Amino acid sequence: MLKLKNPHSVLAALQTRAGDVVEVRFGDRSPHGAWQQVSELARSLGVPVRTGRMGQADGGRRQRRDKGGDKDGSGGRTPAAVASVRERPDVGLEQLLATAGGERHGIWLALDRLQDPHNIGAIFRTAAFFGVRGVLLTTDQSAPLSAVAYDVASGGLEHVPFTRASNLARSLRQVRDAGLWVMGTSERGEEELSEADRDWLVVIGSEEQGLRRLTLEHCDVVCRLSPRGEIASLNASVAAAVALAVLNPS
Amino acid sequence: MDGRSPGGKSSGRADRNRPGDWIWGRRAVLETLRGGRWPIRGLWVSERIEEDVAEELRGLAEQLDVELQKADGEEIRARCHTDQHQGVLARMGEFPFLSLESMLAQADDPPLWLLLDAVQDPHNLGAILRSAEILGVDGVVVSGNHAPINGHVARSSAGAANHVRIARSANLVALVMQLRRDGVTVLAAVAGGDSRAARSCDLAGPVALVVGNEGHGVAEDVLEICDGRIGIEQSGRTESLNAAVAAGVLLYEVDRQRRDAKDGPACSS
Repeated sequence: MLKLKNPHSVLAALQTRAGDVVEVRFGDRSPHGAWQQVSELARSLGVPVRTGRMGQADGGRRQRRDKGGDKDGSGGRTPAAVASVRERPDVGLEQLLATAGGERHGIWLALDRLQDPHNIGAIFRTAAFFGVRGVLLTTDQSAPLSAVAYDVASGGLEHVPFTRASNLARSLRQVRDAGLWVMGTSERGEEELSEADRDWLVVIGSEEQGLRRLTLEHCDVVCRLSPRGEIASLNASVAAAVALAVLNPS
Repeated sequence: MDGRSPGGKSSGRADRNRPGDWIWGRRAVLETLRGGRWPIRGLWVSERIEEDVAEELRGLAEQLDVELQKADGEEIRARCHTDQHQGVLARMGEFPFLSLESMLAQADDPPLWLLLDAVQDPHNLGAILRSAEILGVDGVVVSGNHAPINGHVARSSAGAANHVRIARSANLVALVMQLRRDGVTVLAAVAGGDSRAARSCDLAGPVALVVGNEGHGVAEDVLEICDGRIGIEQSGRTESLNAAVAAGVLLYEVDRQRRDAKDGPACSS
């Protein structure tokens, strides 16, 4: 069960799958800002709303203030409320790719063993902003889709479908069979990012190692983001956003 | 420069680094020592670390006159409360901000400045510094009630905190006015429709970008005196991008336009 502390991630869960929101628990303060919206929406949808001490739900851990999670002005230190939400299920790869080959080109993402739930959450938030059609995640050596990821995504994890793959190389073959082109991003890439002239799946490599050799072999093209800098590459979530902004068909 | 900087010493408690501020992990500590910029108050090194790493640490510590203490993994863990120290831990002093005057006096032509208005999340601040370094920012100015530049920020920045030029300003409005007087176009990053898409802005000249607080964006008084508002074209449904992500995308666009300008006349869109 996810314990979500960002009102925006809770709002998105209520809007898209209220049946999975088990309860919303508010502290002693009366909810304001986005939490007030949560309270009203939850009540109108028949989701249990309780008030009382937050201690046990918080697990004694201090929440980081983060990424839109502070819009209620609570400072993120003591959450104003906690929602218990079931995890969102995978859609499966076939379903994820169902809209490929249509009249309008789309963008998909694959995250190759990302370790940091903040990065995963930030990428989902960005993916929702740019209308990404779906995200393919790895299961091995990858951060799980935790409450932190949901909260950082600020609703993005509710709006973008995803599926998890134990064997990324095999999944990438399926992706290509479905008619998508696979683009790797690497500072050693041979081309600059181009435009959204076809259905692309963009592979984002892990924070430490980037893309694996086997993953690179399954890319139709490997693009670099920038020729500059002393540091190997941008933060994974920034790199993903730059790729999406450049490919943005709008 | 008229000699009277809008910056100056900040007296706020919030932007002072806390004591007992740690950096751990081989790469992060080595990079900080090699950078030679950030004062280090102490260094703890496990006896079980590889000899070549230990030797470089000893050499750098001696050069910088930092006391190096041997410690076992458990002692190091007890100080930094994490298992990810890889046998190397450093206690950092206060981050040495540049003065605004000296930062502004030194820049590429055309300059690119990044002004951060109360960015509060250390992950965001670190990621922004990392993007700033890679994408050729001449200097970053932190302002308002911002996250202290500490070990968390250094880690998130993947070492960039040791390389990027960082100053702070107690008066962002005055700094924006000064930059504009100096011929810099100052653009505030805003979410939503009330902005011009970065792609259709001319960013090849002298530019300063202002990135605001995670919750409420760029302060109203700063927004009012900027040359304009810049945004990122949206094609999905989430209302906004994370501050670090937005900063990265905008800096990339500046870099892209400048590379195009250098490579010859770019086709305008």
